[in-house]
Order: sequence, then C-alpha cells, then structure tokens
Amino acid sequence: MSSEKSVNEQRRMLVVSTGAVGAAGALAAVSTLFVSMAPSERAKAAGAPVEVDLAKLEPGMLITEEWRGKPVWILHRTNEMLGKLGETAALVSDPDSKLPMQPKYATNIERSISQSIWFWWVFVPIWAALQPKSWRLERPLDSALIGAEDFSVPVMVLSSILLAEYIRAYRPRRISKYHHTNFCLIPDC
Amino acid sequence: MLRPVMTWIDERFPMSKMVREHLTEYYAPKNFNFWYFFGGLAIVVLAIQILSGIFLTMHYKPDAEKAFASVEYIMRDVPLGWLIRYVHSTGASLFFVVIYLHMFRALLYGSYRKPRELLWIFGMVIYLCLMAEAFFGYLLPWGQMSYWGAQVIVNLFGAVPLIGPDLAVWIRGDYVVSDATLNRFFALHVIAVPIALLGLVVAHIISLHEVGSNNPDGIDIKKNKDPATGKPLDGIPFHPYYTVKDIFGLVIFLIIFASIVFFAPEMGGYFLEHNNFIPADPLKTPAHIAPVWYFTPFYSILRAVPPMFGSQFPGVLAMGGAVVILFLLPWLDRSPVRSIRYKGPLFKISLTVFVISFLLLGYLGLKPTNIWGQVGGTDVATVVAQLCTALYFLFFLSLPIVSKLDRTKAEPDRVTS
Repeated sequence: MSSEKSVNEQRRMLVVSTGAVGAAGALAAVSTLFVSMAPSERAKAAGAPVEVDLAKLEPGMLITEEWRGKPVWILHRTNEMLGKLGETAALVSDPDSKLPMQPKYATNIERSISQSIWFWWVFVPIWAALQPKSWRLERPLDSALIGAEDFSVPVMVLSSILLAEYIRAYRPRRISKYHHTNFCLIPDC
Repeated sequence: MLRPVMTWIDERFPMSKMVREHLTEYYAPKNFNFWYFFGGLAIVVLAIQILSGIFLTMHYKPDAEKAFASVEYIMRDVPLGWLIRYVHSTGASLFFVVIYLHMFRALLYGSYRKPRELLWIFGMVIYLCLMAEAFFGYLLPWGQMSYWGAQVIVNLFGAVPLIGPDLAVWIRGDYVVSDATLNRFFALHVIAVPIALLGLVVAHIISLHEVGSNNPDGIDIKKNKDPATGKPLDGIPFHPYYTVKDIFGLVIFLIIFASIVFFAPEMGGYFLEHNNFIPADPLKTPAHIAPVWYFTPFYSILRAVPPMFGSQFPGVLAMGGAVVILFLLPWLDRSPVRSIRYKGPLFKISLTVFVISFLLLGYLGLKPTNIWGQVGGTDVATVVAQLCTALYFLFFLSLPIVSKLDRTKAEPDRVTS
C-alpha cells in the first residue's frame, strides 16, 4: 500500500491548520503569564512623581529624597559654589561631564541644563558598579575649595556619576516651569 | 518473595528493563579515572540542594520586609536550621566546583566530540540553568550583596539596546530591585529552574546512555565487542563496578563537604560574602560589589571590556559570548583524536593558557580593579583581565586551526591501563 496515496490532503491541511491555531492560542494564553510580570499598579504608584518643595531649600542646602528606591540629592548651589567649580576641576576626573553616563544636555562644568536653573542640582549619588576607573575620585576634595564647610560630601559627587537609568527617566526641561517652587522627578508631570 | 513482586511490577512498568539498561548492563569503559567522579557527584549535590532547599522553604519568608530576619531565624531559632542552611550554601559553591571539574574533564578527553554533541549541549544548558538558579537563590537572603549583586546583573539587561530599560523593569517587576523581584526570584529558584534542571539531567543521562561514556583514551569501546556476547571487551557493568567506585569518591567528597559545613561555612567570605550579613539597603551602595566566586571569571570579562559608544552593551555581549562559545566546542575541535593523551603540544599549550586565563579572570573578578596598582593611569589588573579575556576567546577561535595543525599521536585500539 503506497503511503503517498493514503494521505488525505484535505484532512492533513485541516490537521495542520488546527495545530497552528491551537499553537497560537497556547502562545496567547502563555503570554498572559509574561504580562503578569510587569510592574504592578502598586509598584507603578510607588514609582510615581515625587514632589519636592524647593522653597524650603536655603542656598547651600542639600536634601535627600527617595525616588524609586534610590536616594536623590537636591543641592541648592550658591553663586560662590558655582564660581569655584573651576578651581576643583583639577581634582575631578570628569570636570566637563563628558562621560556617557551624564545626560547629554548637561555636559558642562556646572552639569546643568541651562544657566537659569543651575542653582538646582539634582543627582543620584549611587556608585555604579561598572563605572570605569577614570570616573572615580582620586582623593577626597577639600571642602574649603568650594567655599562651604558642610559640603564635603556633596563635593565628592562632583566626580560621582549619575545613574544612567535614572537620568533617562528624568528630563529637567520640565523643571524650569517649577523653578523655585516645586518640581517632579519624572517626565510626565 | 521478591521475585513475584518484581514480576508483578515488570508486567506493568519496565522496572527490570530500566535497571538493566542503565545500571547492570550499561557497559562503561573500564579505564575511568579521577575525573569521572564528578558527574555522579553532581547528581548527589543536586539531590542535597533540593532536599535542604525544601526544608529551608519551610521557614524562609520571601518578603522584602521579612526575608533577612527569616534567614537569621533559621540560623538561630530553627532546630538545626543553621546546619540545613550551611549545607545549602556550601552545596551551592561545591556544585560549581564539581561542575567546573566535570566540564574540564570533557575538555581533557574530548567528551563533547561526535557523537556526544547533544550530550554536551544538554550539559551546557544545565550549566546555564545552574547559573540562573544560583543567581536567583543569592537574592533570597536579602543581604547587601544579594541586593546589589542582583542590581548589577539586572542592570546588565538594561544595557541591551532599545529594549534594555523596559526589559530590566520587566525582570524586576519594579523600577528597582524590590519585594516584587524577591518574590519572583523565589518562585524561579524553588520551582521553575529546579524542574527544568531535573528534566535536563534526565535528558543528559539518557543521551549519555544512548551514545555510551567516553573515556580517558577517547576511543570507542563499542568497536571491540566480544563476538559471543556482543558486549564491549573494554566495558564493565556500571553496577556494581562504578557504583562502588563512585561511592568511594562520594565518601571523600562528603568528608570535604562536611568539613566546610562545620568548620568554614563562610569560607573566608568566598562562599558567604561578609557584606551579606548586613540587611539590604537600597540607599547605601557597598564600596565593592563582587559576585560569588563561581561567576567571577565572567564578571571579569564584563569589566574588562570598556564601554563603547556610551554603552556597557559590548561588555555584556562579551560576557554572554564567553558562555555561548562553549556550546560550539564540538564543532570547533577538529582534531583526529579526542583525548589529550594523543593530542599534540599545540593543544596542550593552548589548553594550559586557557585554564590559567580562566583562573586569573576568576581571581580578578573577586577584587577591585585597582588591586595591582596603576601604570600610567591604567589599572594593571584591568589590562591583565583584558589580556586574559582575549586569551579566553582565542582558545576557542584558534581551536579549529590548532586542532588541525597539531601533531597528534595514534590512538590505541584498546583502552590503556
């Protein structure tokens, strides 16, 4: 008995197409499991914009906020501090913010998007595990160099690098709107 | 008494047939040496991990608020909890010791060569699963190293172009390693990966028994069969010969295992990192984040590749490539002989350089990059790691040529010693 002749073409087509439809259905069913792994509504709510009242920040003051599990430092820089940035340049490995972890719009010595808001300095003081050696500070900076005694810690950060992921989410263009009042730390606020 | 029972079972389930095929009439080459202990040991460690793991889950709480404390509870309050936990943590490290030696055996004797390619691939997938299992498990104690180690590894996925950031969020189930991450890693660690592992181990053994075991001479024992019985002349039944031999190896192994569990469970910070005795703190990054020792060769490769075009992705690719390239080994080795015993000097040098590079990478991955100081503003250790990374890949990429050019010796007809 020839096997070729015993094949019922129509029946085979039906089997194959039933199989294909079944496979698509199974895939669709399984995909729900993968979708369930996305951040829950609760996680999304917890990661929502953080509002910070900048009015309470005296010039020279630093506050730590938490956003999406990361510390966010907000520093109200003074003219004096900004003026002395050039003096610390030699001690910082990346004074002009050229390295890729910096946002593109902040590749300047002030690490600021524009001069109108450069008093507000927002950054994530997290050490990125994979940063190349050159991004690290060779030795602690002298706090006197920037003219503020209590800034030994923030000054360290002149060379520390903003967490790339955070920076991508954070678009300071929006800040100008809330200049000197409130601003949010995520794009769509 | 027993016979009727066996007959009753055999009429309903191929019990005796399986015992014959896989034990009493599975003919293994008679010249197995030291290196052939590790496959059996790996199965025993897997059993130890599953068993100790089951009892740990009875007390552990996969909740970011409670996880760290529940581990301490196991250590201090649960009767013999400390023992079960140390057995599990020691087993994790020794699993990798055994697996690395098992894989090295394959490199020595060409056990991945035709017709054992699929056997090798099953083995490699097992190795991948094992790495995933270890990674997921390491987050569970919710210590500083658990947390930041997971952070670093998940961020690697974030380096993938285009989909990276979304992928990382999807893996974490949050914008940051959090309770959601811990909970899913727990599920993957205790259910998903172990099931996959068990299935793969069965596939690994079935394909081994289909093609037969390789041996230190790398020759095929099925070529010389007893004409009367049809059994390989150089083969001996796995049971009782190798079961007994393996039990001897197992006893030695368990002595080492128990010594670690009872006298050095932290192994100087290599099996259980010191920083992991501090609860996870998302706001405080440890000064030095190092993975557990079994991941450090690959971590070194990751660090050795500098960021390109403002992205860490090339490093991530190199790290992934370092594992993936192992899969290709059966097709890269073109030597006319399998075993290192009959391979020429080129391969021996090549393999030695590879092993040294791998060990050096492993060592450097444990240490900060400035460990050997600087020359001209560059970390010496980074340069060494880059060199070792190059040599690591060179071993594989040059293998087709090395194995062709090499002056091999003639294989014997029958197994030696």
